[in-house]
Amino acid sequence: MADSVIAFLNAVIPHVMEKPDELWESTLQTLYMLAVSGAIAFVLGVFLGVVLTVTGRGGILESPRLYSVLSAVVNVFRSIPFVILLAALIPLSRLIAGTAIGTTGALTPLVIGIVPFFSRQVESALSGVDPSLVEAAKAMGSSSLGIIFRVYLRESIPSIIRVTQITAISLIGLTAMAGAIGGGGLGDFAIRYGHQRGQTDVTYVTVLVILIMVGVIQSGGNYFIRKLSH
Amino acid sequence: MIRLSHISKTYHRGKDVIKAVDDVSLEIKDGEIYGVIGFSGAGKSTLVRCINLLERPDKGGKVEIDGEDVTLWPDRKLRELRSGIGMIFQHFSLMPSRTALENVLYPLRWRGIPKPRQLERARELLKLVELSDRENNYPRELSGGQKQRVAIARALANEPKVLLCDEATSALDPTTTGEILQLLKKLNSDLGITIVVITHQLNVVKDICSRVAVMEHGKLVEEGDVFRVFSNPRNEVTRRFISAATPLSKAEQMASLPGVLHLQPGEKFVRLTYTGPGVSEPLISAASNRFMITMNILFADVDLVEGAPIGGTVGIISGESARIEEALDYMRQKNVKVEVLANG
Repeated sequence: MADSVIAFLNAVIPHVMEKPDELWESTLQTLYMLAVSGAIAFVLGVFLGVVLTVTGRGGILESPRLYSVLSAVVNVFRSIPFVILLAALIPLSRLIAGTAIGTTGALTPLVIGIVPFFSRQVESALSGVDPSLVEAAKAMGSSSLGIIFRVYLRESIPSIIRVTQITAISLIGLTAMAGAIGGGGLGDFAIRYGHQRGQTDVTYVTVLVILIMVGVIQSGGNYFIRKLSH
Repeated sequence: MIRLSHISKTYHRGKDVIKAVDDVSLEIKDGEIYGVIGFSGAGKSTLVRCINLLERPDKGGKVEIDGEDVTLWPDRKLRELRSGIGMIFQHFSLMPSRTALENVLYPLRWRGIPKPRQLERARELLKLVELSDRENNYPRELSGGQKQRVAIARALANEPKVLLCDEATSALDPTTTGEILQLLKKLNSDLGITIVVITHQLNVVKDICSRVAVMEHGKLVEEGDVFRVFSNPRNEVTRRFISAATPLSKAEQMASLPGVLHLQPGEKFVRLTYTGPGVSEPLISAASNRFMITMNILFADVDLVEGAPIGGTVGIISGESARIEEALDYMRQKNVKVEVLANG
């Protein structure tokens, strides 16, 4: 039984079967980039999204100057194509992560590439919080920090999960690109074998692995959204 | 006691300058239910937000609470002030991700009160508003009236001396409105809490307030005891409120539409409005007997405000014309406002 499965796989995806360890390692590398840059970007993005929300027009710490500066920076970084950002950030990566190559070298551009996008998403998630709740909290004597945690963040948990899902899926796309330049990850694996050596089956298997990751993010997120929505 | 002196609030929207509140001064006594009535956009919501400084009044305005000028208090002290002033809203403003109990807990938490004491207090409050069986329901599972009850429980959490109600019944049906008003009245008499009611509904003021301020275009146009204001309105806005709420105003329409009213020669179509306490129905029959006239009552609308009747009667008087005049004079002497709307 097992033999026949292996024989079948050898026939259908011969090039992948030659190097299953490399596929596994690439998958782990992608997960590593996703997890580390995702975690850092989550914290920074939520922070920036909150700052954008509370300093924006009518916000609880309204500050038009800070808002417009932040907003401009976010917009500039969002409009730089990621491939260019990868190249442009090589010196910064060396400074922060100590290297500009490999999966660790990819973390800095990944974070900087995704945070502006994510912070806008968070901003829009928080804008879904009814302003009258903020007012009620103020009327009950909540401080600004209290309102941020107990109203804005707490009341928009399902929306934040939703935008985190979207962002995580975009981030998988970015890790593939980052890997192709710095080395490492599924993107790099697919380019090196599938594209450069014409091993088409490698490309398809890579796509399949990424599809599984996206599926896990989708269904996991949906599960929590359902559980936490009232 | 709450004393507002020369409160104004100006908003700048680009080039536009909007004066939401314009030099309003008023005083709210401890333990009373004070109404602020006005059509939408009159500035009453902004005014009430000046009491707990959710809106900062323009320079020159002063908010005094129990003799202390709180207008210039720093943020930290203001937060303390606010937690001692309960507030409820038109759309309840409950946190949708929290159950009824958790909503009531909100103002109790993060204040150094031990957890078991918080829970005890929150349950006590839900019991007070008769929602003990709903503590684990989320706001979306509650009716409008139930949501407002939870909001009231939440507003009372820190034993405030003042409760601000911003259009608290405007989103509720008439029956539920009545229930909420009764609850507010009960809280006022049982707990001695001062209640400030902002509304555009005349019946809310009539039902529970002892004093009322009428606002229009940011200005306070009339103020006084509810009975005095509604029995003897001095301002046009107040009159509009009253006529919008009573069918007595339809009398003019009846008089002006041809064919609706059939007056015989000598008959008079009149509207009698009660303007002071001590007027009651026997007046009409007394006048009929005394002056040998008959009054055909078309409709009447009498309401009790603060225990005294307010409202009036519309009808057709017939009889000898000299006697009719005497009867009308007699009624005028009894503090009834007499208007002859049409002559037969």
